[in-house]
Amino acid sequence: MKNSIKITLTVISLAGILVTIGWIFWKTELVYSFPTPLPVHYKVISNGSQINIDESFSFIENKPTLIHFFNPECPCSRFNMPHVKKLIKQFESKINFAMVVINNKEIYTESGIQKKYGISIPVSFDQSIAEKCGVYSTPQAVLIDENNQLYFRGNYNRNRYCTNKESEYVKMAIDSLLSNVSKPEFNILAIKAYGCSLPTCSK
Amino acid sequence: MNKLANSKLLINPNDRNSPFQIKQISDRMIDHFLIGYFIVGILFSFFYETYFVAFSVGSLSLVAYYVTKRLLPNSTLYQYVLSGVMGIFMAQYIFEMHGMFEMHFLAFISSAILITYQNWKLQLPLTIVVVLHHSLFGYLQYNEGHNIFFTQLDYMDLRTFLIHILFAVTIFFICGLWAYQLKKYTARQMEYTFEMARLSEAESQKEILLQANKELDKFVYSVSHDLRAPLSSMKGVIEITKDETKDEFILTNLNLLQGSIKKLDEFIIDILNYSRDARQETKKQEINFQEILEDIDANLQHMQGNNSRHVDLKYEIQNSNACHSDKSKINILLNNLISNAIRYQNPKTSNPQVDIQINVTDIETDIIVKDNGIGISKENQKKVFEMFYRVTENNVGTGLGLFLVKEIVDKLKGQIEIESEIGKGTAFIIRLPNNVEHN
Repeated sequence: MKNSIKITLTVISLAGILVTIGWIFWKTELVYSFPTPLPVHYKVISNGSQINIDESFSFIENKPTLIHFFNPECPCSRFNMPHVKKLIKQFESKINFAMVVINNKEIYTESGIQKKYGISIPVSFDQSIAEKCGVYSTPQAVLIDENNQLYFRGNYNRNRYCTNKESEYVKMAIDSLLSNVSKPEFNILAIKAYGCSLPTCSK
Repeated sequence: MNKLANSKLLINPNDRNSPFQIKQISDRMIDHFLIGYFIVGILFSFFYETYFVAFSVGSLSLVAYYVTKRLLPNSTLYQYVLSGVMGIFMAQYIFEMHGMFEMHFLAFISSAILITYQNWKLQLPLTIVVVLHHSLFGYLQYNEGHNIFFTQLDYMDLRTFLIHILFAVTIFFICGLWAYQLKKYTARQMEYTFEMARLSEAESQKEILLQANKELDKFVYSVSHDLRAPLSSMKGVIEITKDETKDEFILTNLNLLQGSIKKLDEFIIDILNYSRDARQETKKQEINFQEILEDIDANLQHMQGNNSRHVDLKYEIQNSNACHSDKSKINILLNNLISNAIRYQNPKTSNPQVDIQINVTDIETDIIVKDNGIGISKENQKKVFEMFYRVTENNVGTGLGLFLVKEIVDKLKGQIEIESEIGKGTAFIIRLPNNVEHN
């Protein structure tokens, strides 16, 4: 092989590899730094709306409910799982926790998810709950008060790894709901959905 | 000869410090490190199920390195690719461990590994990747106005970020500096090794040469000695035969024979003298010029025999100080110069003579031997000190006399000059340093 051909080949493959690696990092990380695109037929559900989730979950006690929207194939969802588990442990006695898995592939089952993440909260695969709550990305938290009214919908933390104490939005919402003080002003980073779009094929 | 063999060992290409070896050993080490990087990436992926990134980015990095190395093995490009790839591995680890700060240390490990190639420029791609990576995340972090959802550490303000980058770049700079120093040191050591090899080779050649010279001297000396013995017996036989015959023809022939034998004997004596001079170390003793010159005078008057006119030998010695030099060498020197003066006397002058002036001072001994002989032409003056050079073919000299004179003067660290004019005569001016340690 001639030397010039070898050099060209090397440059092309290096450029290709660099672009591919850049694309992988974009797809798995950087893209989630931007707000999740709004779906075409998105129906706005505003705070205070009545939400009926009794068909999906049957809780014994009438307590506020936190629904965690989760997709095992979404890197962002996986990244904040430790934080969700911490919230469950902390507020289990005062709040009903539930998880909605936005992925209806058959490999995922309720017991499988519970076992994998070491949690005992009910897990639903009912894809319609997301629409009811106005959720169009994962991971998202929906907090519903005792009267089945939407209290908060948004991100867990400004940081995908939930390490930033100042932006623990969900925890702040829970605190204000439980202590009956007025809800803090949440900024756009809290209530505008960031994360993975919901898989469209799962409808 | 042993030294020569050793010197060859010193410049062996298998030497660990040869540039070829540095590259080979480093490449082998890098193979292990890169595969280690890949495997550690896979292990990290178990924490947060980042298998996709671990396998795709990790293997693409390996492909980038090995494709470049395979396609352009003689270029150093693959080493630069390696440096960049190491930066990408750092980004991969940081991603896999959720921005865990400790993962940044991988960049420092990589920087240290790269020293092995002894090329400071290899730090550049790594530095560029690290700075770009951090600048990108820094930009994301501090641009809240753009609705960017990103933060790694709440205490990571701009100043902290800049200090971190500064420290990282400092480490890369130092690693580059060490690589540069190491390369310089290696180059110097290589140079030294080659120099050593060259020196020991030259030395052993000198030894061989000295040995050969010694053997040659010994040969010349013993041959000359052995040649003189039959000549002496020939001389004796001729003397006896001359006494026993009155036949003019036979007597004439015997005289011719005697002349040839004499010439041959002189030649052998010259060779002997030269050989002795070459073999013997210079000795230092007090010189009595008076005594030496008287001896020479007596011998030469005898040598002149019947076939030339009597040459008047005058000498004048001024010795305020004693001259210390090698007696036998001085003897040969004077003998040769004076016999030359007698041999090349001018037939046209009525009173052929040799004038010798010797002046001994603290510093030097000046010897001037002046004759009124046939003289030496300007172009011949340059050649008379060459071995076997004779000014005229029909002359009786051996061509060794003046060569030997020059040799002796050189050995005694002196100088010799000729002043001569055709038809008027020649003067040899010799200056020998006095009281100087001769080797």
